[in-house]
Amino acid sequence: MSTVHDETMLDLASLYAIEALEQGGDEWRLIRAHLPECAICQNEYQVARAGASALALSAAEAPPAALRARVLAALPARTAPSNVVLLRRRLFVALATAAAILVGVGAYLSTPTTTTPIAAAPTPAASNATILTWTAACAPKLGSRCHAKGTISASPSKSMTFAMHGLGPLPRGKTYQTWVIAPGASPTPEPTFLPDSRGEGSVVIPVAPRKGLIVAVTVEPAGGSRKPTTTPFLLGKIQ
Amino acid sequence: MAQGDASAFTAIYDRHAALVYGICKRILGDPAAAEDVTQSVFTQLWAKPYSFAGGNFGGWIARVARNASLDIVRSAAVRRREPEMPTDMPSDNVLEDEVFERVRAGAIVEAVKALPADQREAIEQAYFQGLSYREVAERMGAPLGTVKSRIRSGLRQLWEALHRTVAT
Repeated sequence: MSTVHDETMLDLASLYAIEALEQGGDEWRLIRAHLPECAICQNEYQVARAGASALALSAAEAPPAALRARVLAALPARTAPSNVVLLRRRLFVALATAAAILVGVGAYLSTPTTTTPIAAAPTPAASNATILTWTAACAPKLGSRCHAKGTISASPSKSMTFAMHGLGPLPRGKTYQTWVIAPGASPTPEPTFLPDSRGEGSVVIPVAPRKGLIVAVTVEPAGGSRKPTTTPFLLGKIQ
Repeated sequence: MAQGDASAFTAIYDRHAALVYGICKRILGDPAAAEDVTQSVFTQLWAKPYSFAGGNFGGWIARVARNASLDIVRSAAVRRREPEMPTDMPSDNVLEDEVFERVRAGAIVEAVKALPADQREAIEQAYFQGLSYREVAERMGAPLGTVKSRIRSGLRQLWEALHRTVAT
């Protein structure tokens, strides 16, 4: 579809760059169609996005030092570290000053990969941190039909990070949903998620871990449910 | 090998954690929640590094952090989902590269403060509160055309001010 450039389009290009247009609305669709055809609006879009990035940078604030250890310790074990290679290659292209970050990338790329949990190489901060973790496994009655596993890790800020792997792809219109079940209580709905192409996924559950809680995963309609509509297939108990 | 993986990822964290955490804290207004979302963003980056399809990495991860935080602010019944990892950003924004690579942090804060108040308010509401320009107009009690113009002019002035600091 051919679109006509005018001053309105420049406004829309700027609003689109800062995501201030209603997604899927008429103006959003109009500028998405127009941008590839118009160098002037592309320039306006880039200016606005650079402005938005500056706004983002103006909010930068050093996080608590303990967060670094928490992030590294909670990363799920990798079964395919080639992802990291890809990330490094993209960063190498993207970050003009990233040379220091990518020391040794050449050697890494030429070496066969192995299963490598990132937490296997703790940072000095991580080595001093106490991270509580619990495992999650398939419901026993599913037997060999379920290959999913998970690790629940506690965070000091009263939440749990649930990292899973071995998840199968879902049909269109379905999602995985996590649940927290307190002893004697009904399941409470927690985040939904879709696994990546390797069957891995993770969510932050904004509930403090405490003894007896069960964290569960079900398959639900896209968007999630208020109550489980299927039987949990992956379960972990906080001990 | 394991050391290499960890140090690469740690370097990425060290370089971008302040940006991610700062955005999350600004949007959520809660340091503990900002820590959780920051952790979730980096966990997702580890799980799905291929979501980054090129372009400016800082701009991309800022958008991930913003979307994840806004998702929490907006969510109600079903509380939150994993951070969205956008893949549709154009990859050749040299202007954005300039902001991330060459502009001093202090200059950025000064440039934002120097914006006319109505422009700053409009773009901050759109960016940090995730409002559409129509919602911004409603909150500011200003005509739609005026708000469109404030946002566009504000972003352009911000860029031009920073570009001047690099050029001089």
